[in-house]
Amino acid sequence: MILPPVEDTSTPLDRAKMVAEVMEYVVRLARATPLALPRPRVWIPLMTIAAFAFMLYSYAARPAWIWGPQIDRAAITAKKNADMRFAMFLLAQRIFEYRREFGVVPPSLAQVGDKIEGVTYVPLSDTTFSLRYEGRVPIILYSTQSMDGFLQDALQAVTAGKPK
Amino acid sequence: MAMTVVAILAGIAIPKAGDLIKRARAAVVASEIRAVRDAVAVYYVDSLSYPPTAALGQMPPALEPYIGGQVAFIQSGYQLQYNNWTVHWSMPGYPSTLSIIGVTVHTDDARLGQLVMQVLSSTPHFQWGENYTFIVVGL
Repeated sequence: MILPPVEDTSTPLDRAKMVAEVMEYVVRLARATPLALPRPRVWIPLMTIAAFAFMLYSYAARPAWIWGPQIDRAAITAKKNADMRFAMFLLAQRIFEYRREFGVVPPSLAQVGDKIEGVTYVPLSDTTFSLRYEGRVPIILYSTQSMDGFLQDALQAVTAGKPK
Repeated sequence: MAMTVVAILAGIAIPKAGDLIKRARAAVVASEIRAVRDAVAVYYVDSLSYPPTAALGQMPPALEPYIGGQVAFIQSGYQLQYNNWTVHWSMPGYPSTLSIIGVTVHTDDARLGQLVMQVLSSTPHFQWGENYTFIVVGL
């Protein structure tokens, strides 16, 4: 069956109303569908700030539970000095022993079979010598000097932990 | 996130485990030094003298029957040296000391050396370079 052609009876105003209605619908639909953006992660900057603040505290306060007990550098230097004095004292005893046996001091430490890294041995005469440690604080032992004076507090430092 | 947590925990746990192993090693070194000390004491009772100094890493031959297989003077990571110093100077507080006997631990592992000193803190000791000497007789 063939339908007869429909005569267009709408007025320009009707067509304008129709277009306006469609546009209104499109605008309403667009407003109803919000843009799906990811939720901002608030905890990331918060955590970063907290971590940074903790780091500043740790560096400034140096708490023992993070960094361990505070190091007393002066005490460490004093202990190192005392230890080196005692080591040099014992090395001198080896040289004294050689002198007692042979009547003269050895030409080098190779003869006594002992040495200390950083300590220089210098024979001063047939029977006298010096030991020199070139550390931050140089230590010099002369065989003619009083060993009590040379040792200073080294004996106390070496035996510090020994029960009384 | 989970990987980060695991990485942080591993970062804490692995060094801790390493330190525990080192502490156990330090305890072994300390027990070896005590074994040498005991052997020296028994040797002295038998012979009224002390064995002479031995080279680094070498068991003093005179102490061998007293120590047996308890101590190896060369170990991975450290070596021991037995020292006998004859004292030619009356030390203040120790006027009758004629000999000082020491056992030196030679190691480039500073942490191990420090831990051995901690374990044997009541034994007179001193450090020079990579050597940690423990006085077992004389002080």
